[in-house]
Amino acid sequence: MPELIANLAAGSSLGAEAGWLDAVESSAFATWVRESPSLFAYTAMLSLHAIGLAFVVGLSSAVALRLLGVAPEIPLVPARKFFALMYAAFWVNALSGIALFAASAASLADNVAFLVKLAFVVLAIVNLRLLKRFVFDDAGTPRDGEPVPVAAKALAVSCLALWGAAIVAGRLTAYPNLLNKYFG
Amino acid sequence: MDTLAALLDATGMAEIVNAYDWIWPICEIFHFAGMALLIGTIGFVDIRILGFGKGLPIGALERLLPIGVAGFVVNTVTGLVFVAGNPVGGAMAYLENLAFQLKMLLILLAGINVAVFYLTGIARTAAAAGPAGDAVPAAKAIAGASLVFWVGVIVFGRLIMYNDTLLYALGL
Repeated sequence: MPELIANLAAGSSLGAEAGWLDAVESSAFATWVRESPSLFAYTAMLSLHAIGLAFVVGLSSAVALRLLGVAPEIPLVPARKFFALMYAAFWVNALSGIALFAASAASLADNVAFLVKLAFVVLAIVNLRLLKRFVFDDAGTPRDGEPVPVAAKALAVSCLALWGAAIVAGRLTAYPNLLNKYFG
Repeated sequence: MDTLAALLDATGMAEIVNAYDWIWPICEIFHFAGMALLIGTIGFVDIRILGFGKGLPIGALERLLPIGVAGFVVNTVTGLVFVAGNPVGGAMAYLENLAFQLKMLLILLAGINVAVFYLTGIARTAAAAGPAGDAVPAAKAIAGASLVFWVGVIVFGRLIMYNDTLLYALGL
């Protein structure tokens, strides 16, 4: 898989000999993110990424746990408002993620754990949108005391599983050698 | 601080971490998951107390807090693995790290904040505000401080490995 991506990048019609990944990595913005000693460069992007993760995974996990029966006193209808916050947190991560990717584009494009993480994040966000649409937007939001439909519980379980997988893959992005050792 | 470092080093965690190279990344994964659970529950309550999401009763949201506490416990345990098992420089490397020290200080402040919330009865008045109610200003101050403290914990946690950048920014 990494060879495929590297070959795609190297042979891509989008880039010159150096490939578009190298072009991104040597851009002024990416260079600043990566090499500036300022707290507002790489370290700020890392912090924003962790903060965004905490809020999008945390808030959606709280809602998912509620759908699975934790703290059943929490009414579901007004919980819908928190999706806006989850999406905002996701965009914080999308933007900080672009900055972090740009700083190390060439090596990240080769990093299987990173690519797997992106896939799980996409699935988790799709799952979140489905959750909002079918459980919270349609008139079918369970009112106080009403049982949570099985479909909603299934989406809640997949929410937790997908974010969990994204966190695992995200952390393992930093350990390509370890992954090679055990799964290479 | 030397005695604390010696105590932590004496646990032998560093030998275990060095012997099994998958322990550190697995602990990091749990550390991030615990962080998400903590922010997702405590943050949920704080945001509601500050006035967003009216319709949700504060008292009901507080039923999520034990999960946040569980996240905190997971992070304390994995955190101890990191500090006691640090393969480069031992426990002292963490104890001397300014970002780590500030992170611990913010956790302490967050803990004091929670104690004030419950021991002064402000929690009871906030819960009594009702689903659409506005919490008293004191509760909002505590909730706001809580968010600032915990986001600060995340920021300084990230800076532990970039302590030099922090020191540089502070002119130290």
